[in-house]
Amino acid sequence: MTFNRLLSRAVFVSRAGCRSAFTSSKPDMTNPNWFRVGLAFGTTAFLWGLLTHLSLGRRSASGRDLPSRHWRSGPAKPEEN
Amino acid sequence: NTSFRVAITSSPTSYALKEEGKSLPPPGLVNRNSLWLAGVGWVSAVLHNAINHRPPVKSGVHRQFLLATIGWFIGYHVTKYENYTYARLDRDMNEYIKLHPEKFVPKEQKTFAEIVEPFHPVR
Repeated sequence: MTFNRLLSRAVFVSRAGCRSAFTSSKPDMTNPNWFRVGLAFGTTAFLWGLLTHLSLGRRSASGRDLPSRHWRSGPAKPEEN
Repeated sequence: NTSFRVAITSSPTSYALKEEGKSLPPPGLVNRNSLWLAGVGWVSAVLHNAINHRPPVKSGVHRQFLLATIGWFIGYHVTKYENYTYARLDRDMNEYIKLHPEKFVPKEQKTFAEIVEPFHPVR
């Protein structure tokens, strides 16, 4: 054990003035943390609003830049012009 | 056959630089990637409940909604990038075809009547 005390850096850690973080009380599920609940629902509402705004969309700048087609409509046909 | 990507190179990063990312119509609110990732988020919330000995589906509804929404949001952007990638590949392919028309001569079509040999039944 003395030899381990030579090599181990844990020896230099003082064990005075510290206590374990373990607490013996269970988290209280009957009183919800309303701030966190409100934050969660608020963020949800914000994200849905953002999504709706994004998907209601910008008209494409010029339709000739990139061909857009539905993924079920098969391979792209080469343009005739 | 050479790869189509050799023809006109445009890198996937031009999506990030917003040069071309805006020229497509945005994906609809409901799409496969959104549904799947929203499901992933919801199941992870339910799992989190279960691991912590809470009622899995009936507790933490705000968490379930939030994680499902985050998944939906990420799925929407994944779909957007997917649309952009396929549109870019289509455009590059079409430009290649236009530049090399000699490689895409339409084959003359023969009807089946011309190919099939006359039938002499031996009964």
